[in-house]
Amino acid sequence: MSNSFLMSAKQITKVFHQGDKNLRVLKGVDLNVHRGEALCILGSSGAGKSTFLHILGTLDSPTSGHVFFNGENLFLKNEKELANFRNKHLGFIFQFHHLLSEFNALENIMMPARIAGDSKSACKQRAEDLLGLMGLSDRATHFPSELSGGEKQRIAIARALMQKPDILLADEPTGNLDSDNGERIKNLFLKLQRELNLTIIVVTHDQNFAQSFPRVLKMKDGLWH
Amino acid sequence: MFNLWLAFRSIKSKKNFNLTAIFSILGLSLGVASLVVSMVILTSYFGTLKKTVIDIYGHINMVRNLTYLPDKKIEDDIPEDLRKDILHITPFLNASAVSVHNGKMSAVFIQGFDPVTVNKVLNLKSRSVKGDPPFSGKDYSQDENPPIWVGKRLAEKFNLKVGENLNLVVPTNNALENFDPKVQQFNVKGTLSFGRYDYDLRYLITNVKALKEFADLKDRNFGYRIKIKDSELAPEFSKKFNQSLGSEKYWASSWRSINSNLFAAVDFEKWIIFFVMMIIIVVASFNVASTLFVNVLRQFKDIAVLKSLGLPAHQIKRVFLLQGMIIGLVGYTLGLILGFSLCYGFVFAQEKWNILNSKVYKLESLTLSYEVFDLFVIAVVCLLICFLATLVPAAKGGHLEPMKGFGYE
Repeated sequence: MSNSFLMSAKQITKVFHQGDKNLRVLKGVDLNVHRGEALCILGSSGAGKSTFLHILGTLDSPTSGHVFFNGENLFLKNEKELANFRNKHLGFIFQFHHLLSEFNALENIMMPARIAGDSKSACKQRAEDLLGLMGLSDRATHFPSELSGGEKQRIAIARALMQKPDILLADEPTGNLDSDNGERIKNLFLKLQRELNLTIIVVTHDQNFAQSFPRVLKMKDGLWH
Repeated sequence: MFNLWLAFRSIKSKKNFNLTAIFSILGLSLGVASLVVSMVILTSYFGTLKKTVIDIYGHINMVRNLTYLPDKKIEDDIPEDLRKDILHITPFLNASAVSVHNGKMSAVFIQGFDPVTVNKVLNLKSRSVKGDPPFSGKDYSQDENPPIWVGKRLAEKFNLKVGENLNLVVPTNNALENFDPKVQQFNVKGTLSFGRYDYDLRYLITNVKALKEFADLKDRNFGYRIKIKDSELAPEFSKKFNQSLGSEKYWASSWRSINSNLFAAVDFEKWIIFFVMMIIIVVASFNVASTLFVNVLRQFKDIAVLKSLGLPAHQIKRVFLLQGMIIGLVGYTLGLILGFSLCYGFVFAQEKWNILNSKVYKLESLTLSYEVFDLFVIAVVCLLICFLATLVPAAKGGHLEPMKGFGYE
């Protein structure tokens, strides 16, 4: 397999079975991503872009096709190895932030490190630094219900960065935000990509958001358009 | 530790700690409380019955065969290897008699004890209700009539007061091989509660010297009461005594054989009741399982988030199993507190209203006692059932596919 790519997808298909019908969401999609690349997948609702992103992030498995990370076929790994892969190499950002409501901002950010086995004291400093990077140092002990939409999304980004991932996967990160907050998040992504040389794959239906990315791929009906 | 922390946080979250969770914990507590009450009451019943028997009979009751009249002390008859476990021995004498007072008559059983050694083996003093405790060291040798202590129900029946005299009649054999009645007055020094209805109605206690003279028993001591180092070994000891001494000399019986049927029945019932009551915990554990099922459903999204952050399935299962264990532990602790409160309430009610009919259950009152082993077994059973009940919800949580949790937004 071509080792020069950080992540590759080969002939990914995904079929959902709904009663007697088969819904083909992805129809053989390929993708190669270099390290440090900022990529935006643009498509309207139902195009299959989120499903593709979830398959890249091993949150869902393809009906056929393969996903490679550093040349390694991800879906040959067992459940435990995949969980470990997600923890060490990926950072997820979702449209609805998906913070854990019972934990405060700092605890949410520390969660990936705690899952990896770090003690609270070992990872607290990094979590505080990330909170500072997001400009939310004064929100450390606030619970998600006490934060605004933009703040929640920034906490979710800090959480995604906690384990210094190789790839940041973002699914409609601004879909639930107003234009000001959306702009801030977009700029934050581009800044992270520049300063940390982070590989970013973002899925969006927002053309304005996509325009700022150096590489934009359009998806329609489960294929590149 | 991380999984335990997650389990704790999850349980105490407002989302999960709702009425359903509270009811499932309460259900479990009630189950545990029922089991604790049954075990403690039965253990207490057994313990109280045992104490009653030991207070009066000692650990070992040795009755001498009437034909065997040794010219030496009992100690010399006991084999060397059994002697080392004996703490104290006291002689006793039994006689059946008829008591007469205020125109009433009753068949009674008089026991005479040696005032010097009796307190080392028996605990008759603790049975005192009114008047002087028996064998407390008071000298009655100058009194006109010998002293006697009577069971409290006999005293009630005869309306007998401390200080009054009681007429006792025993048969003595005359030269013509017929029986002549012999009558003597005894002075009542106190009343006793033997802890058993039938004993309280029939038993009289005096010193061995007075009984010997009254019943014309001369130098005969009918038997010995023995205290050994460990009361639980008494059945084994009595068996060894009988094997080594031979039945033509003595017949030894342990405190357990005095009421062997009742002790065996209580022992047996205890375990039967344990299994019956355990069913309540099993039923309650279904509530725990359903609570956790609801928790799993409520936490679908959180489980999906944790999986996306890299928490493997087996750790998610562990978090739910720990939640079940925590619920089990809380339920057990509350059940323990509730159970013991009910036990104390029961003892109070027994003292006040005699719930356990003393005529039927042969006990006047109940002293609470429990075995740590029983409480340990209840804890193990409770946690094990909770563990088994949470296996299925835990597996469901562990196997949840992340995208199902997110609901494919």
